[in-house]
Amino acid sequence: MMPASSAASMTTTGAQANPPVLAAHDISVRFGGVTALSKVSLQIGAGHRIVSIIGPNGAGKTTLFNVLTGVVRPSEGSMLLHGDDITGTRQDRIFGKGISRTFQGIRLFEQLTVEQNVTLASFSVPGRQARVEGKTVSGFWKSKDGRDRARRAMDQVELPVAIRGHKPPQLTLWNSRMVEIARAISSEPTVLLLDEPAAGLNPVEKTKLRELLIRLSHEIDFHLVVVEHDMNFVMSIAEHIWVLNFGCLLASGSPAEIQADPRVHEAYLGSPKDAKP
Amino acid sequence: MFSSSVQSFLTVQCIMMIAALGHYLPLSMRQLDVGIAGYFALGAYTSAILTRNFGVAFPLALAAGALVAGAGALLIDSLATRVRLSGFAYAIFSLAFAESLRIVLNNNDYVSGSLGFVGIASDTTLGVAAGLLAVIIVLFWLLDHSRLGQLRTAIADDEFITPQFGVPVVATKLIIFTMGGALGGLAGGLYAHYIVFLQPDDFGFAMLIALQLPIVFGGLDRFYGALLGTALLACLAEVTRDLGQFRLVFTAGATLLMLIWRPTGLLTHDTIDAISAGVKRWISLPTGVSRSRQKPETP
Amino acid sequence: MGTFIQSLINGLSIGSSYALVAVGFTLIFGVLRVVYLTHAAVLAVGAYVGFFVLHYTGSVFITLLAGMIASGFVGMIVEIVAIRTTRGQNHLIPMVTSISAAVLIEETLRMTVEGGQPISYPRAFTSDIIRLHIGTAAPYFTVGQILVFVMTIVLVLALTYIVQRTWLGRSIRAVADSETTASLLGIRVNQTSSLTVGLASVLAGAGGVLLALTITAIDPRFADPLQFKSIAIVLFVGMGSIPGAVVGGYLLGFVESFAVGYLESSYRDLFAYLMMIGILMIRPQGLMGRQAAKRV
Repeated sequence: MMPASSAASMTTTGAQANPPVLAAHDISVRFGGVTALSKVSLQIGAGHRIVSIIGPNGAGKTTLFNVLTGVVRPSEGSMLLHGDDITGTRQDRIFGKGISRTFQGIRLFEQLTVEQNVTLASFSVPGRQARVEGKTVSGFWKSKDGRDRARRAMDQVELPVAIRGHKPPQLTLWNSRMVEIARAISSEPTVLLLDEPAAGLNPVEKTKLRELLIRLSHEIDFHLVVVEHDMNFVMSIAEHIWVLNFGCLLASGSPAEIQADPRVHEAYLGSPKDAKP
Repeated sequence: MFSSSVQSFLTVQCIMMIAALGHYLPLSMRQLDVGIAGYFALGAYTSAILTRNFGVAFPLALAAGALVAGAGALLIDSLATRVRLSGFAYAIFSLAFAESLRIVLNNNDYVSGSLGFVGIASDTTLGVAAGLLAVIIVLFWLLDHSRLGQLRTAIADDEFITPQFGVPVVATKLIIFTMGGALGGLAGGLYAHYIVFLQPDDFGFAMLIALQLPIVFGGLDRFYGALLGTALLACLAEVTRDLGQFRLVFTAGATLLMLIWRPTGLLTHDTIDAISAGVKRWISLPTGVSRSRQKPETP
Repeated sequence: MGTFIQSLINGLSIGSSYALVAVGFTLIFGVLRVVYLTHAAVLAVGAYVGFFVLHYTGSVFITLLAGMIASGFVGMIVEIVAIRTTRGQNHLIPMVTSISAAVLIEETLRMTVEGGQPISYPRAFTSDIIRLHIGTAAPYFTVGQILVFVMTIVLVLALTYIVQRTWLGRSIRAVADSETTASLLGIRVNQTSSLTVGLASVLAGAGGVLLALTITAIDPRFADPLQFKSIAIVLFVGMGSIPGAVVGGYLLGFVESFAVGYLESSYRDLFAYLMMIGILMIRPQGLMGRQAAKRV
């Protein structure tokens, strides 16, 4: 186990004294001849509630999520959760360690009801309390409080009770998203990765989503990482932003810093911020 | 109660349906474990040897046959999963095992090879076969509603994301496939004690095709499809029995036509949902599924 | 020594059959990307048509031609009826329709010719035996076995020429590489698929006639084990590689004939199956060719 942060000394901001919740060091991913990610490093600190990763299409954002959730093994680099090295952990164990995610679009199990979608996940892993105590549960047996956690998760996203017995094809986009989020938070995760949660929502729904995410981040005491294309949404919600481009980390900073960064403008708009048209 | 030829037909069909359910399990998870004829053979020979040569009681011998077959399936599927065989390679792999077994049996004197294993007690009756089938159907229904069944449905639905939610995919598959093999072995044991004559060549491609086509015809979404497909095509073939040897032609022709017209097979998730919603409405139970599938509920 | 040479000769002959069928498979899998199991039945059609033609004309070469045309024709019909209609589905469906088509063809043959009893080709020059004398050993082979080998090489070369140098071949390679790109470039994918299966079936028809000339008797299902092993060969060497399929075919042919030559013949198939199992465990993706195996 490596210490995640060398800044172990006391500083004015107490958050730096503890290891970051989730840290990625020099993650590189190569598929055959394609380099999807190149030496990407980021740290999600205890003080960060909601952070965001942005970048043009193909920048590697989903690949990064895939690395963080164990779908893809990085060619180089390491990943640490609370200071423990979890690089290369199997997918089904990552969920149990407290890292959850949603997917681009909607990927729910169409032959299971809403509630079954959520309990499938919640039964597979222990809740936060048990996790902290070091208890693990094999994916087969039902975690004792699985059903309660599922119910709580669905309540937290305000999923109407009436539709919990329905199957995904009958749901609206909003409710489908809510089910996805409920499924992901049923493990009481420490880190929740959301892949384009606002896609397809109208402005009213986006506002609702924003409020929901902020509320959740306080209620559940976890850390949200949001990948999004809607800049307004990102700027209004994130405390820290990382910008990826062509698999590399282009910039990292607060929303104001990112907005002012000429390199970010160039990446998105193809021209420096102050260039004459 | 029934005439003896009808009894004979029904008994054989019950046995075939048990085997069909065994073959259905891996197919429903999109895994081409086509070794079912081999599992069948394992069960048949194991149980026959036990009752004939060692005087073991019939039920025990059946169980032993199922166990051996299940172990065989576990072995094959573990090996295939370890090297992560693609779908088609999986089929070749399992088929190679089944065919190897057949050749070994053909040349083995202990089981009288291709001369045929005789002298088996005729312990399987219609009652036994039908009774076991009924129990198995109930178990399947229970499985669908159990945790293991949910895992199975989720994996069959979207295998890629299931591990992300803590589901141990490989272990689940192995358990299901072992159950499939065991069912094949059970059917084999029943078969051995009904036909009372075993020849390894009976457990080759012909048996595989006879089992596989009807379940794909019936639909792979739910196990009812496997049952219906097997029953329907058997009855169809039987009705035309006087015309002679058209059984396979009918099965193949019907399957081909069905799949061209309706590639998902006869019974799909939607069909079953619609039927069960209709039934529930008819006996006035609240339905979990809303009638108008097109209209989303108001947000 | 004699056994060695005898095995070598037999291996060339057996291997030729495997090579012909395997090459057909590698074409079909590469272009259609479905599990196609009707090939053995199509081969049998060629062999059966050849049976009647040989009786009628007595000419081996006309028989060969007739078998090739018959198989090619039937193969294209199968593609149109059973494969084209189900291709978009998950890989199990076209596999089952191809099996159904195979059963239909084989049952038709069974019911219409001699009640399914094995039939033998009439005697032709191919049955003439040539005996070598090497030291004390006297291995022999039939003219038919030479013909099989020669025709296989000729057909494979012809096929390679078609694939490399003609418009059809370019279409085949384009579709095998990427179907969407090919169709965007104006290639008619359906037509290419039919012609690919037709081409492969022509080869199968030739294989059927050649085999029937060299073995004692045939029945509608006689090519089933051959099909199975050829598929395994293609899996092993990787789909989409014609040279690979040829090399693999001869390799298996030699392995089998040496196994038979030195072991008991009833275990010949077992040897091939065990090898398949072993190979799939060591090299699940194949040796040469693209990794199309993963997609199926």
